[in-house]
Amino acid sequence: MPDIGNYTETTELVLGEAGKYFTVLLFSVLAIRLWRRVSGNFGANRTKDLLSAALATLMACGIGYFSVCRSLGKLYSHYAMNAFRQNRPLQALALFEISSKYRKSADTLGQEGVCLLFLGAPDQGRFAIEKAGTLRKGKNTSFEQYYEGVYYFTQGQKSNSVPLLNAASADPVYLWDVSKLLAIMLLDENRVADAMHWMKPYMQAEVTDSDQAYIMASLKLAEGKKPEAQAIMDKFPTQEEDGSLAGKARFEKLRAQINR
Amino acid sequence: MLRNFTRFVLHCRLEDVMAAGVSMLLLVFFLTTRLFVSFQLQGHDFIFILLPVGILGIKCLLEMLLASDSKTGNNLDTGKYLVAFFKPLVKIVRDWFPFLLLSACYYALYTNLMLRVNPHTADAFLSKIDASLLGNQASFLLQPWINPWTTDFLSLVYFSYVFTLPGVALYFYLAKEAKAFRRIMMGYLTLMLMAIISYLLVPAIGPDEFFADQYTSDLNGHQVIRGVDYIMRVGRVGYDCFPSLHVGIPLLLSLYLFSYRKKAFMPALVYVALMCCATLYLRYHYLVDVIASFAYAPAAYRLNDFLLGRWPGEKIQMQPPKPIDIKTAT
Repeated sequence: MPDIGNYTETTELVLGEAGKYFTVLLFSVLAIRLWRRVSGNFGANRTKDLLSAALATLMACGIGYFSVCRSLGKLYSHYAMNAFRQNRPLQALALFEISSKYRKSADTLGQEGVCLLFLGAPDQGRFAIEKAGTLRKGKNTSFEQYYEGVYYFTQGQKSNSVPLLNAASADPVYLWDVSKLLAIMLLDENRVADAMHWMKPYMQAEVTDSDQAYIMASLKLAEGKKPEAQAIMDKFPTQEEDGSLAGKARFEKLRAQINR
Repeated sequence: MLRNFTRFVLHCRLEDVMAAGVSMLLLVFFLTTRLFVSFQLQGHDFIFILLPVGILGIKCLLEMLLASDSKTGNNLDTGKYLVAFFKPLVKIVRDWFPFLLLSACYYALYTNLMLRVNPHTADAFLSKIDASLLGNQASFLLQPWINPWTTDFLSLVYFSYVFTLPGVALYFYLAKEAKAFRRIMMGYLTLMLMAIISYLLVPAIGPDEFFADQYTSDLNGHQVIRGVDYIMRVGRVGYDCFPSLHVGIPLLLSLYLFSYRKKAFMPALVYVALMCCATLYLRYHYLVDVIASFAYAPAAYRLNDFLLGRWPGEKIQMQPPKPIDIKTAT
C-alpha cells in the first residue's frame, strides 16, 4: 500500500517552498522595475518611487533570507532524521543543531532531545523534549513519545514506557512498532494470553524482522508448536543487524526454551 | 436588497457562483455534521490547476522583468504603477481560483463521503458485466500480450493524462481564447462532479486489486515505469473506477478540440483509444468503466453547454457593448 501520508507531506512541502520562492521572485521583479523607474524618473513621483523601490527591495531580501533559512533548516532536519533512522544518533544530533541554527522549531528541539536520550544524556534529553512539548502547549509528537518510550523500555522502566508507547500508538506510523514492544513486555511478564490478544491482528502477517520473529516464536512455543517456533527463529540467526529491541538475552533464553 | 443580491449573483460568472455555493455548502456540512473531517488538496488540484497557475505566474513575472517601461508608464503615479504591476497576476488568480476551489471542494466531498454513501464495493458487479460482455475479464484476456516494452509505453500513455488537461487549458488561456478556456475548465469540473457522484454510488477498487491473486503474469515494466506507476497509485484517492476519468477527460477534451481546433481532433481520438488500451492493460479499470466514460464525457459536455448557455451572467458577457450616445455623453 503506498504511503499516502508521505505523499501529502511531500506535496505540502513542494507547495510551501514554491509559494515562498515565487513571492521572493515577485518582490525581486517589483524592486528591479521600481529601481529602473527611479533611474529614469526625475519628476514629482521620484521620492515616492524611491521609497517604494527601497521597500520592495527590503521585502525581497527579507522574504528571501527567511525562505533560505527555513529551507536550509528543513534540509538539515531531513538529513538528521535520515542519520537517526540509520542508527547514527551522534551525527543526527550535530545535524539537528545545524538545523536549529537556521530554523528554531519545537520539532527540531524534540528531535534533539531524543538524540540526547540515546547518547547517554537523559537529563538534557528529557529537558529538551519537555521544552518542545511546552512550546506546543503541552503536546508532544508521536516521534518524541515513541522514542522516549523506547528509551525507557531499554532502561527497564516499563511503568514510564507504557503510557508513552500507548500515546504514540495513536499514530499509524508507530502502531506496528508499539504493538511489538508491548507484546515483548507482556511476554516478559509471562502474560502470553494478553500478548496473543494484542498480536491477534498481525498473526497472519509475514515475519520480516527479528522482534516480530521473537514474539511469533514465543507465541508458537506457548501453543506447543515447537517446530514452527524453531523455523521462525532459524530465519533470524542474528538480531543486531535490524536494530532489534528484544535483545540478545531474550533471544538466547527463547532458543534455550525451544531446544529444551 | 434581496433583489439586488440576486441580480448581482445572476450577473457573476457561473464558475464563481458554483465555487461560492459549493464551498459554502461544504462549510455548513463541516460545521454541522461529523461526516466531514478533512479538507486536503488532491493530485488533480495540484497538477490540473496549481501547476498551470505557477507556470503562468512565472511567465508573467519574466515578461515584467524583460519589458521596458513606456513613457506613459513612467508618468504614472506610484500607486497606479503598483496596481498595474500586480494586475496581470491578480487576473491569473481571478481566472483560475474558482476552478481550484470547485475542484478542491469536489474532492473534499468525495474523500469525506467515500464508502459512506454505499459501503459495499461494486467490483464483483462490474466484473460480472465485463464477463458477460467479453466472456472473461479484459485484463485476463490481455495477459498473453504482456511485454515490458508494451507496459512501458502504455504506462507513459496513462501517466501523460496528468498533462493533457492542464496543457490544453493553458494553451487556450495563453491564446487568449477565454471562452474556450472557461468552457473546457467548466466541462472538466462538470465531468468530475458526475464522476464523483458515480464513485460514491458505485465504489470499486479496480481489477488489479480485486483479482490480485488470480493473475498469472506480472506487468513487468522497467524501473522508470515502476516509478511512474508508484506516483499514479499514490496520487489516486481510491474507489474511483466507474467511470474512468483517464478516458473521460481526454474524450471530453477531444470534443472541445473538435469545436476549436479541428486539426487536433483526430490525434486526440487516437490518444483516447490508446488511453482505453492503457487502462485495461494496466488493470486499473474494467471494460465497463471505459464504456461508461463514453457516456459520461458527452453528457458532461452537453450539460455544461446547457448551463453556460442559460446562465444570465454568461449572456451578459456575450452581449456586444452598448453604443455610446454622443449627444447624451456630451
